Amino acid sequence: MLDQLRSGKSGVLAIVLTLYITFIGGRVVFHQIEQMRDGSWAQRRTDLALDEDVMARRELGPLAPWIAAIRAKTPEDAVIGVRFLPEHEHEAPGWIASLRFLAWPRRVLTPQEFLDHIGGDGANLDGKCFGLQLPDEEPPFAQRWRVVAKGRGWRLYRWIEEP
Amino acid sequence: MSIHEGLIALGVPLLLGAGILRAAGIGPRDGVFCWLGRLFPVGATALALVLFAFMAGGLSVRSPAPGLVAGLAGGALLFLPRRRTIERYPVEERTHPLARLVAAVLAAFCFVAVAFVCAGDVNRPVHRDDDALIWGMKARYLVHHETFDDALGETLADPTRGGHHLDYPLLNPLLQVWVTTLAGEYDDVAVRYPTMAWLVSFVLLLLGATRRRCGAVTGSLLTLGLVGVGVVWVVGTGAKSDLITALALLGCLDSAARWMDEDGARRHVASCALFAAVLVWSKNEGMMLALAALLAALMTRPRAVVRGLARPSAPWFVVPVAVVLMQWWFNTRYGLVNDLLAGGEGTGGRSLLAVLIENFPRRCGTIARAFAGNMAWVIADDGSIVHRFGYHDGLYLAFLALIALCPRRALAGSTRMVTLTALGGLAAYFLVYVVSYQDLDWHLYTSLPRVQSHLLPAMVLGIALMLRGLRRDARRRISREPART
Repeated sequence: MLDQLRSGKSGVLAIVLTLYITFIGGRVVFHQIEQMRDGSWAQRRTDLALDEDVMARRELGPLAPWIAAIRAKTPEDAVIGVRFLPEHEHEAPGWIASLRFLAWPRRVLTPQEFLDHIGGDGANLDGKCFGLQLPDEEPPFAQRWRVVAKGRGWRLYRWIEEP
Repeated sequence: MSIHEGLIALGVPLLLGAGILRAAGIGPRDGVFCWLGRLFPVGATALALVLFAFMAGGLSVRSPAPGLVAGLAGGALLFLPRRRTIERYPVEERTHPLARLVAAVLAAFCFVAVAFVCAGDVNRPVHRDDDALIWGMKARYLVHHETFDDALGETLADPTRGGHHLDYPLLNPLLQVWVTTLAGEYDDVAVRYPTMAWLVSFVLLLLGATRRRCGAVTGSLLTLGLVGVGVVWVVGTGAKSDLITALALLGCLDSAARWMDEDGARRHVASCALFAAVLVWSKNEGMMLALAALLAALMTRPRAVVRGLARPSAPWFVVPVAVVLMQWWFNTRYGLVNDLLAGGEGTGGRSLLAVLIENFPRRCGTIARAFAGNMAWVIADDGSIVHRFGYHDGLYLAFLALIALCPRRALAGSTRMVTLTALGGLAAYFLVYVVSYQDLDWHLYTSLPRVQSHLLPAMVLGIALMLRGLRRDARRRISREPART
């Protein structure tokens, strides 16, 4: 190392770079210790890179009970329309995307897609049709829907086929 | 997924990788870290090719046959006798025992970091972001349909199914299919496991590449420096393909640089070709970076590269070409097109060149600021300099600074190829943002650190090569100095 230092510009550069890398390496070691002490270093590190988006993807959040209910109470060929509250306008697209992924191979549709699916006269409504309703209000034609699962602030309905 | 299923999931690609590397004449004598780091990427890609062949042939991917075929092929390649060829290996410099100990401790820290991160994510389901909506969703489609049948085409064409960027390469989804078929059903957590294997291979490969160039201690420090970079965890823990692209580019450049440094050793050509196959099958960006690397190699040693392609080891380059053709066949069969190349929304059917010319003056400043900001620091709106460690921890800046400070070193020998590839890759990404049809701020915010991470290992390799050059210069200068009395 001292020999390199003596050798001029390139030696100094090599030492500066080595010290710099040592500094970065030192931070890794420091964070390892910190993680052992108080939680997930990786999580906080990734938060730095992609902010709250990464934070949110790490847990299922409100999706967890809905997914559990859908997987347990609906057949694999089910068609599930999802209706959110207006205050969920920003989260809704992300939730729909996650629901489509986690409820696969069931089809998860937005309200408009669900209306398109059942047709203008509701001709395609059958026992495979479900509704995940977030507002605490009854769906249209409430007497034809049966609650198959519910939790705080949400209900999962199934369309009752005519006998 | 049970432990024995996990062992099979990992064991089959490792066995296949070991067999293929042996057939290519690549052994641990080029460095144990490097050899270990090559096992999984090569084996996993070969396994994905087997799965692809089964699905294309109308055979169910859920049967145990693909795994058996891959395992048997790996075993045969590993244990059957092969023609011996004489290979020369470079003489390794002797390292002081204390330096070896320090390097071992530093390398251990790298793996401790990987273990911590993997342990933190081992029970977290993949459910959103590109992990789920691009890569995971495609794997779900493939598992559900089991073969490349017409029904798969209907699912791919249905926008309410939720898949995005369906033209993206199949390597990552096929490895998720492999894990899923072993587990019996789609496992929201187990689909992360292949990425974890890629992450371990990535660290091994980087240790092997850097330690060979600038010594055990500095190489391990450089690796530790990269392992500590925040964005590596973003791409290294989910189910995205960015880590595969970064690893494959590193493997490709490392092999090509060894080939140039060791006077055209045949095994390095094979290794370069195998990693090129991984690269072009990882992401569409992989294809772009492969072209950048090829161009850089031609700008470094044009005659040697052309001659090398005519040598007996050149048939290995059939593998990446075959991979490109297979992906092209799949996309054509199902009418899948790339949104950027197809013009995307709002381009009014104009050519990419027309979009480039129109957008360049308007977007140039914003993109340049974002690129500069990602180096390590960014100038805030109020003019203050904000420290933004956590993106690339300054390694990106260190690479560019080193080029500016010693350009002769950066453009000498095999270092030139690595430098030009990294700079060419940056230029290519710059142009991608210029022609992007997405909202520019959103596109830069959500993807820039991630896509630049593809180039980060190549930059670290470039730093290692430049340090090697500087050390040689220094030694030469010292040996020329007159002895002092």
